[in-house]
Amino acid sequence: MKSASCSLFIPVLLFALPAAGFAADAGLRQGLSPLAARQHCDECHALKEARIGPPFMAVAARYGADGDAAVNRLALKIINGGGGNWGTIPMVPNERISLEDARAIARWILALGHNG
Amino acid sequence: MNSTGAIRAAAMVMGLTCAAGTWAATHGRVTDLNGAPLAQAMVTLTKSPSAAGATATTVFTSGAGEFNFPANAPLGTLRVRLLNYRQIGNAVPVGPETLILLMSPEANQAGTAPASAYLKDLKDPAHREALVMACVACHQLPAPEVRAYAKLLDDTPSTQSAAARELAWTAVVKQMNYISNVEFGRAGNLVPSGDNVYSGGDPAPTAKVLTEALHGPLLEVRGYSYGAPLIVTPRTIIREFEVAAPNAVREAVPFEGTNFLYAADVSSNRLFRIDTRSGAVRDYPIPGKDLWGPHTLVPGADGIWASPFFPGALMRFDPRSEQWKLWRLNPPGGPPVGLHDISFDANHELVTDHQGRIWFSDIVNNAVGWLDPKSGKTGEFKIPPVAGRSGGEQVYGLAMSPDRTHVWYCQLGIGSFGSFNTETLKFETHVEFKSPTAGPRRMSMSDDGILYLALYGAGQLAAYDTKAGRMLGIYDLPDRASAPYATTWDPVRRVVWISTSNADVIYRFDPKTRALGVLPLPRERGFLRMVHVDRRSGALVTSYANIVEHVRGPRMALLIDPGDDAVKAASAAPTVHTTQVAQAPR
Repeated sequence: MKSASCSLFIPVLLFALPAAGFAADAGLRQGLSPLAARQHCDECHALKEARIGPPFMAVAARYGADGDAAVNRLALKIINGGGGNWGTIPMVPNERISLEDARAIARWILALGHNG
Repeated sequence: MNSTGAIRAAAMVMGLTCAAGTWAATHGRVTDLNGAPLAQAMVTLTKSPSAAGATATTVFTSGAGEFNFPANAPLGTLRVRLLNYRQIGNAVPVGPETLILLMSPEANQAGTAPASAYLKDLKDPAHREALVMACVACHQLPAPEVRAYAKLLDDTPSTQSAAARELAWTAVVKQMNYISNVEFGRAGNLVPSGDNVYSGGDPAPTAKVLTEALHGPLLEVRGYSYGAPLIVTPRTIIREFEVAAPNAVREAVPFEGTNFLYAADVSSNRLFRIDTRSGAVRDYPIPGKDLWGPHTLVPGADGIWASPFFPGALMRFDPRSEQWKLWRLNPPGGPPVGLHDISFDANHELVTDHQGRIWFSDIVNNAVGWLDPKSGKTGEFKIPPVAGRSGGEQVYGLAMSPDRTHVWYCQLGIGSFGSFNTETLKFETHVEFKSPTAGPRRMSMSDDGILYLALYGAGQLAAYDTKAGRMLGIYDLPDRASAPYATTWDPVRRVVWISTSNADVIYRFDPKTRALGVLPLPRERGFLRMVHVDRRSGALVTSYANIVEHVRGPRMALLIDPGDDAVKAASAAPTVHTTQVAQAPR
């Protein structure tokens, strides 16, 4: 046992430096929304071309008319992954993405149909 | 990793003793449910956010199952970890300062075994080697996300055949190639496009091996062992220091005579300084508009030398004046110079040749190069091509001979190493490992000229006598899927430390007995970089160097007292010191 002061408290310094974020630049340059870029959706998807997964425009064309039901379904697909609709290769789960962010990404994808 | 979570009882007990006006060294016992003591269990105290000190402190139990934290341990929460066991419930106070932690046997090691455990049953060693070389350079394999995808494949009706799973793994390899291109293409300002997006190589061979290696849902792993005795004692203490995000901690080093660790942030332009007593962190940005991204650090007599991720410079930070100095290396019109390692000696400190030149490996140009920091002059020598193995050489590690007349380099991508005479300016020795994917990564040299190479792909340690020009031995590491990243000659203990990328351990090799021991680390995804030895204290310094932006592993600097009283033992014996200061040109 050793005596010492209970008031000993030296806080860890926090920084106000820019986020790393370099990988998100790649997605931004390809026309993704800032959120979709930050979540690295460009690793498997592009706007108009098929990569590992379907083009976002194709997803919008297929589900754009389904409204909020599509937003919810797509958001859960983003988080949980899974296959069946676009070939045999299941999409990877993205459990790090919050439901709120996944919904926002889904809304952005589906809106591409209206803008296209 | 034990998933039972934080143990608040420990904080409560310590809080009570604190309220009484004293701090108590936290101690207790770890037993099974029958009361039998459990030895060499890792007990980790994670400090509360408001407390000072290391983010987490880990000690190990004695043969009687007892553990003791340092007297100045901060308030925090406890957990215990031991291969083949899981924690049951919270810590139970059995006295004013004593805690009991209970564990129960668990044959499924999924919660405690490292990623490498999932590769132990691969039948073909070449497959294991290929996977480590292809995947573990960026992340542990199989990381939890990879295991989650394996489960998804197991659950999905369309991927029940091996052919379908191979297609799926091919897609994942393409995705990883893309990430790799973005991450490492930064240095060349690569802009991903439809043409180059999946250009990291043919995904098929890796996908084929992944299909074999990662079958089933990967919810269980059984029968993994460390493969060699644990070297921990009840005096072993591992302190982990987390740096606030955003960061991408790469190398961490001590600076002699201080209580500070310095860690490089490869994602930005700065070094972190960590006060090991208080845990306080300060950062030192590299001045100017250029982005460098320091990664490899080598302490020297005049400061900490850093090689940058982005090509074209060598730099030094002086902790005393807190000033940076930078030397530009790019020749006019020539290719960018991409440093990896900088010449260091058996004490792991920067060393020059007899002309005062610092030497470095140039991974971009497959060359060894030099800088005279006094004149600013610089030069390079291209390494001769290796018959049948040209292309993708990746000259990586570099170490200088004790007489300072040769630099030794290794080529990660083609399984070879060699020497360059810094006086005649000629390449001399060249040695090839049998397998081109053996993967010699970072290396070090003892004060008697033995070169130790970490064979990343092969999971081995090579010892080469540079004076006699012969291989002393190639030793299997206890876990061949451990992905040994670097060797470090320890001048205090006269042993070699081998850090790993995939096994959450550091190995110790004793050249006299050729015995290997294991120092287990308390954190999953301990994607280690090089170990440095603080000669003053005998402590080991290293880092969890997860740098790829969205790999969810820890970014921490580590200060490890192995608990072997090495400094006391060494101080009773004569020591050997190599010359570190540049001599006048001959």
